[in-house]
Amino acid sequence: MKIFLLATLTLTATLALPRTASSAFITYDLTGTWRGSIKCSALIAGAKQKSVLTPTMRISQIGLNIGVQLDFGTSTSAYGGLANPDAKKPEQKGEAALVLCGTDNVLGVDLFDEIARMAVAAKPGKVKASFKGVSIFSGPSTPQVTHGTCKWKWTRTDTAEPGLKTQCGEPMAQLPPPLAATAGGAR
Amino acid sequence: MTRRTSRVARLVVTAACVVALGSASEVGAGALRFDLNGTWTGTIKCKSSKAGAKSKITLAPTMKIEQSGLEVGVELVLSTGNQFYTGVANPDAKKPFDRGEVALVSCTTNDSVGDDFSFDEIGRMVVKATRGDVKGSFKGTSLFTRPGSLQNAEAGTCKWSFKRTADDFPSVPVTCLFGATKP
Repeated sequence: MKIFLLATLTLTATLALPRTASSAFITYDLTGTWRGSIKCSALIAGAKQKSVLTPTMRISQIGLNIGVQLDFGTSTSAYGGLANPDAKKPEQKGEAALVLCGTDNVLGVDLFDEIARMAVAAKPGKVKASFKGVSIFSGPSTPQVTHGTCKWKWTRTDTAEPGLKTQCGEPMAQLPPPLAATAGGAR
Repeated sequence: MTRRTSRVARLVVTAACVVALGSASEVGAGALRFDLNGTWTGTIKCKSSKAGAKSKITLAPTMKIEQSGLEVGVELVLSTGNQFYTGVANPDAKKPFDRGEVALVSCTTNDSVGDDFSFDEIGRMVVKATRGDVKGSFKGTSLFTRPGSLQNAEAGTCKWSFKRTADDFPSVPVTCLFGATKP
């Protein structure tokens, strides 16, 4: 009986291991508050213009889903994103794709549209982390046609969970079962 | 001044006013702009990250562009199926007839990264296309995210480089509000 129980436990653990160890469950964690800048080069009504934004950035991450909030003091911008952990060091680095909430396939009307691609480095258990990349945006055409490119550069200052939504509207990706639940199942 | 001369003068002034008002209205609608209409050849070279590994691909589609005012419609003719984009022209403040930029968006773009439905892409292009001249260039960068579940989602950067080969008028929608391409 003991042998049967042991065999069952071993089998359960073995079956659970590949899921836990699969790349789907291993990712860096960007959760926290970040300090940095977004430097933009835009073309507004045919004339080049540069600007530097220094909002506070907050990130929540659940599995591979990422929610980003830029807090400008008087207003906020929300982004939904997806982590793309590095194949070799998924817990430490990788990339992230972000889309500004409200982005659609109609440029120049109402809201800004923006897509970003970030390179991230965030070692487990450490506050220090970096989040760098590029975004391309298009703004409303009224009163002037506007679009541009921005360079993002951020360093994490705090790992407290800000409790943000990680998706703009529709589900962005299937979430893997929580690691804790998997571990519990194996027990 | 005779009555006839006075009438002719009034007609000339009226005609001048109509022309002037017409021009102003056209300028307001983006008349001062380059013209991208035509067929283009070139490449789109993309670098991406998929499942944590880097990937490269070069596409060499025929690109068809229709421009109406500041609205731009782009069709990439690919062996895997055609892709549609729309854009907004942003003519240079000093040489609007010759050059400027275009913001592009793929017609399947939405704000859900990696969902199973949509391929999201936004691009910023620098264009040179003098009116009345076939020669034209269309170069720039786009960022994209491709559908995928879990870590199969892909995000990347593409460099576009095209030259115009014909200044024809291909029929390409200048808005994405057609067919089933709107998410």
